[in-house]
Amino acid sequence: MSLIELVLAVTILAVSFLPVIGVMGTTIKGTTRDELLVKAIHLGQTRMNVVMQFPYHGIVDLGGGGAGPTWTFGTGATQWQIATNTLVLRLGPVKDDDTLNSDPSYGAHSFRTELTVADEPLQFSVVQNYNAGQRAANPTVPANWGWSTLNNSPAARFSGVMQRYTLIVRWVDDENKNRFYSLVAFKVRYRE
Amino acid sequence: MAIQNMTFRRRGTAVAMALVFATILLLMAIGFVRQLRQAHPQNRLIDERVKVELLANSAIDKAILKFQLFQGDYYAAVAASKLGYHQPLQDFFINDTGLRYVNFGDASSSFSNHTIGVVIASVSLLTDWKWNTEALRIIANVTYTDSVGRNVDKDVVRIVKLDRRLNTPWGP
Repeated sequence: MSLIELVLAVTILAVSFLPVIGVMGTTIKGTTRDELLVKAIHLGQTRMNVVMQFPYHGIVDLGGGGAGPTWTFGTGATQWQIATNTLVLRLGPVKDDDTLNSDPSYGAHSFRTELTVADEPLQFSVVQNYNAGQRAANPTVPANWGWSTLNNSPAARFSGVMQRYTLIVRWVDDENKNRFYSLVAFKVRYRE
Repeated sequence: MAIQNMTFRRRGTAVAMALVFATILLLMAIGFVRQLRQAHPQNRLIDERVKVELLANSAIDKAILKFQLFQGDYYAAVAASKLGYHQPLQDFFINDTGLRYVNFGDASSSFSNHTIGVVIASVSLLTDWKWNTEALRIIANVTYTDSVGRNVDKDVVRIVKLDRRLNTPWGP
């Protein structure tokens, strides 16, 4: 084994380590990115779970914000919060998940949660009405019960009975890129 | 002479071994990258599951509200269906496009922007005459293409207990 051979072998091994080191770097970046995404998903789900527990229009009633039909909460520089006897909704800038603040390795990145509440018109495309008199006259022939279809008619349109909740979690990752994660849900106003 | 031949044969062994090791390292790196790519969609699965269930429950909520608003017509449609005339019942929930979400993509993120489709697949009136109890079983069918290109089909079911009584209009 000559010196040249040895040097050549060591060089080949050294060069072959370069992609391994590159993969390790990429892995660390990917892990950090995924960790932030998972935190954002958990944060968004936690907040949305709380949002959905409030009664219809309850967040707007407690949080204020004008006449609508769209209300936005949590976009200010300070934290926004409303609370009932059993629920606390905290929006705006937060440091990771509030329950894990005691963990010193947790909280390196800050998130922002924003909620937009919007009145959503509700329209049924098909409403089948029947005629009670014709049904009584033809009890065994349902085709003759006077069915009429109120396709997209005013009788099938409703307002003030459904709201759209859009929850957005924003953060800045290690590459200084703005990231966001959003959830959308609808809540209807049931008749009591 | 024999010693010289042995030395001659062993020339290049280190380079060959280094090449073998380098190849093994490269293969390990490639395998690791592939493994990472496969592990990555787990986060997406969690994300998709939440979005899908929120949207499906929204469609179910709308169906329940429609039942509350037009319950007389619904019961008539059920009665008609029992007599063999199914069209009104079919139209009431299944054919109502107002209860559907088609290519819904509003719940997007920096990482995914797939669309979700939700339809009301079936609504059944479950009756227990013995206990004089009724329930409405609503099944919402969700379809979407996940982050690795697979078509996902999922049912979300909700059963609500019914209580027949006179309703008053909404308050102010």
